[in-house]
Amino acid sequence: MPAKSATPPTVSSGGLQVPHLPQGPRRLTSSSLPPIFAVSPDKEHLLLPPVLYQAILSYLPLSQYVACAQVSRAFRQIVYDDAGWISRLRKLKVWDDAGAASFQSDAKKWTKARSIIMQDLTSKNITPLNVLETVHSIPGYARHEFARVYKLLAPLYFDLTRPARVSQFEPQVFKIYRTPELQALVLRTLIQFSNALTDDDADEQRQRLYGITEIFENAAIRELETGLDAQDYEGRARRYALVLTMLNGGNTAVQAFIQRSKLLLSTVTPGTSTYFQVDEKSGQMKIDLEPVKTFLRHLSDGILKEASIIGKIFSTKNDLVEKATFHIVERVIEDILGDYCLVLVDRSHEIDINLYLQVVSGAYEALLQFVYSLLLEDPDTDDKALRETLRPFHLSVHAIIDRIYEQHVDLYLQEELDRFRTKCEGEVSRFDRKAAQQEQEQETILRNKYREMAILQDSSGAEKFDFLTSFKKVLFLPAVAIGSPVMHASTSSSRASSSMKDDTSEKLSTQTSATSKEPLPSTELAANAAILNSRLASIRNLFSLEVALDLIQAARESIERTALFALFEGQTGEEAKEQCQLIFTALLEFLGFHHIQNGFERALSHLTEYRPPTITDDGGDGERPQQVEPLVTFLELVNVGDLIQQMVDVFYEKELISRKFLDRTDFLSPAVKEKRRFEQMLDGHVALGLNRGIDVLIEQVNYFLATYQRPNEFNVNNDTMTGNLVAHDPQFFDARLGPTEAAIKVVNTVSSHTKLLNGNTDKTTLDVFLQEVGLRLYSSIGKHIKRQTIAVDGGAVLLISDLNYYYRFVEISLRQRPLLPYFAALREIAQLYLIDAKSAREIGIVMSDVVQKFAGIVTAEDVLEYVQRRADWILVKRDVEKAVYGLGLTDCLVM
Amino acid sequence: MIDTEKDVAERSVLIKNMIEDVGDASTEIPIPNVTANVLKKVLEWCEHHKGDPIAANEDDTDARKKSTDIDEWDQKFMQVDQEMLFEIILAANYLDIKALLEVGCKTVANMIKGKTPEEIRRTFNIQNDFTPEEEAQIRRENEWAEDR
Repeated sequence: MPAKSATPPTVSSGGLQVPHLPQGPRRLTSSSLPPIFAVSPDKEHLLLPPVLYQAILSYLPLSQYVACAQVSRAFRQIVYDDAGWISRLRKLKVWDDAGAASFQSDAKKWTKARSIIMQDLTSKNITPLNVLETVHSIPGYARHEFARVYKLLAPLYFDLTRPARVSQFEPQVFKIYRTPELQALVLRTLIQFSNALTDDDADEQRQRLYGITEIFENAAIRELETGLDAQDYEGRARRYALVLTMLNGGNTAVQAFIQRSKLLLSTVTPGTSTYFQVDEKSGQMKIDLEPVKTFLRHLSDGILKEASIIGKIFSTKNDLVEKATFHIVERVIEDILGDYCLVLVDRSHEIDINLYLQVVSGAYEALLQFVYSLLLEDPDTDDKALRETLRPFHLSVHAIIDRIYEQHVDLYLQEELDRFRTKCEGEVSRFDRKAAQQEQEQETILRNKYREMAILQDSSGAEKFDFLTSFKKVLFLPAVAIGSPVMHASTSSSRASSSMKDDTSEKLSTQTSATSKEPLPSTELAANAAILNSRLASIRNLFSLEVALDLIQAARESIERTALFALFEGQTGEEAKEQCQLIFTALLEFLGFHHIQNGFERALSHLTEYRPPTITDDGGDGERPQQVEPLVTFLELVNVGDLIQQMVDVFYEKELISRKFLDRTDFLSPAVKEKRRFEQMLDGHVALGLNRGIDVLIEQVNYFLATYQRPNEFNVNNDTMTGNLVAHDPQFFDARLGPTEAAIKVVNTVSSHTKLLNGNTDKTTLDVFLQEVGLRLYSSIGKHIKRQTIAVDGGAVLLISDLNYYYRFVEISLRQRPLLPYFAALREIAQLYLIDAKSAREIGIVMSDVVQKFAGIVTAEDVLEYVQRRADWILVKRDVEKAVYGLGLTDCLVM
Repeated sequence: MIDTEKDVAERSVLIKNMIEDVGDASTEIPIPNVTANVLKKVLEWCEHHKGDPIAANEDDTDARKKSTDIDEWDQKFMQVDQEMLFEIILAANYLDIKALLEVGCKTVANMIKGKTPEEIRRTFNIQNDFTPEEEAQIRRENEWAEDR
């Protein structure tokens, strides 16, 4: 039915009314005026929409359809209408709608239409073989053009497909066309022609035509195969490949060729039993890749050979060359390599899990490399054509490999994660056991280490930086996924150049990283790690950098291997990406929450249990270390925690973000969440530890102040006249000009501990910490002063030099501006002790100055307390109070 | 006014669209252009075919067999006088009921099939409005398609 019937009713209501206006009662016999083919008053048109008549007449066989034109003018109009004929030409696939439209829109072109049509009628060059190509898409001439085709092809077609046709009569077509090429062409033309026939027996005729064509095709295939077997590539094989191509485009020729391929028929998959050996060095199972490579080379040579044959056979048809080559490659991969990999993978899985992990990823890489070697680089052949041919198939070949490999990936991903977790667990718990064992013995040894550690405080920044740099270097080189990443020695210069090369080489380098067989440049890293590790002796039973490095290294290997499969299409690729995140999460879990957290918690509990020695301790113990042991340990741990966090960060950026496994902003992803949790855990422990650390530090400070400040140190001339003393013992006085021993010890303690944090802790955290330390130090000093008695001569000078010393320390070492006023206030307060008793009024003035100047820091009561510490307070009290309150207290009493 | 089930009436694409536009299957759908007795006949057909799969879309019409086979029930259904046949075709076209339109067209085609132009004229009472010369001319124009 013509397509137009789908459109909503086109009947106008007026047209519809006509049949409803019968004159008189309707007669129901067939002799009554039938309305179906009723005509318009001018007798030119039928009353129904033309599509309906088209629909009715389209059920008739062609001969009768045409004959209907003789019934009446109205009938002729329907039959001759373009629409029915255009639909037939469309089925022949020779009607060009755009071309037809151009005739309608272009008047000039239209004037030529008739002459074009007439030309064809007289042309001698039009034969059944090319008539379909000569059809013109000119509106108004569709019937004409169809008739022209029909006249030429129908006799041949009906002769060939006559039901009575049996083999004893040779059909006309084969008499007219004697060569297989022409026969192929005519068969193809007739098949195309048969599509336009819709008579009742059209289907049977078509089936008969197909049958004959199949016989012809099989004969041609046999000829092709004979040619192939005789290696007559450029003769018979090429000829019949061409015949088949003319017949149906050549797919069957390609199929026939592939079925006869010697490479596919005769390749025997080698046994794999000798591949697996014990590596003498490591004692682990290893795979020997040489036979694999040999086999792959054999295959790729075979493919090249086949490709050159293909080039000879299908020389004229580029698309067939491509198709045939691609199919050969596809079958080699699917049939031969698929099985081969399966055997390798299964065998290795039976033998050893580590081996299995290496084999799965290694074999996959080898496959990819195999394909790329065909595509990209093969110095042995100059077969550029082949490479050009395969290039468009690059992606599809990759997809085939992925397809045959997909079955392995699920198990592999699971095993990879399992093994990684087992390894982490093993490392961490082994460390824990060892640490617990050693803890007792270490206790004593550690004490002796403190002095060594002082060195670390100065150099740790630089070393850490070195360490991180080499860590990054290692991370940014492609991993050798197969073969154990033993730490080979290699000169750093060659390493640098090789890494440069790697960076600039192929975009494919990530996929073919197996090509970079250079040893990991881990020497430098190992050396730096060793240095750092020895520095960190004090915390070695809390935490081990080695373990951390081991875990990160293992995670990296796992991710590198897994990453290969992340390039897979669809679900498998997604799963691989997820797996990478899981590995990262597992790394954080074991490294962060088992290893570091344990360390932190033990250090914290040490810190909490720590009690500074009380004053009743033997104060004369000069050898007493100046450091608070657990605090140092803890701060060291903060350092390392920070280092680990930076390492994890680098790792995260490199392995997850830059590979696009993960979107940094995807806050729902488990890896991102876990990383944040890890960082929070570190921060939390650091904060907790610092809090406790301040207490411990200040307790230590108090201890020093109490122990080392000799009684009456600031009251030296309590009994003697100042002048005398100075005259008597100038040396003593000079010697005492510097800060007192207590002050020096306090400052050293505070400075050595705070320095540990420099550059390692978050700046704001550090600031808060230092300011808190400063404030607590200030109040400790304040309290300390209030316990002393200070003489104007000698003692006051000492006190001032102490306070200056503190001030300088705060100004230069702590570098916390907000602290300065406090220590400046202390300095000013010291002035109170300098003023001679004779000018007691001055003292009062200074007091109110101080209170005014340091409002909010020092209160009047404070200042009063301070001033009472003057050795001669009793003497000056009256005058001072007078100066401060305007009247002495005693005056008040009198009044 | 005729009561009918929704799935029966919806054999007609036109009515289906109208029901969708109205949004309520219980309302009256005015069908101008189709008389009550024709509509009844059409609905009878729809009732019988309500379970049929909805005719596939346009692309399949080409693949559809051009055969003039009609199933038995439909053959009986179409045993009506030509006026009714005409109105059914018209109504099927208007109401957009593809399968019924097809059956109608096939019925008419079967009436034409195998007949000479003269017999066709007689069957449908068509007047030959060609001159003998014109008729000869047309026959010549169409010789190419004559039975092989």
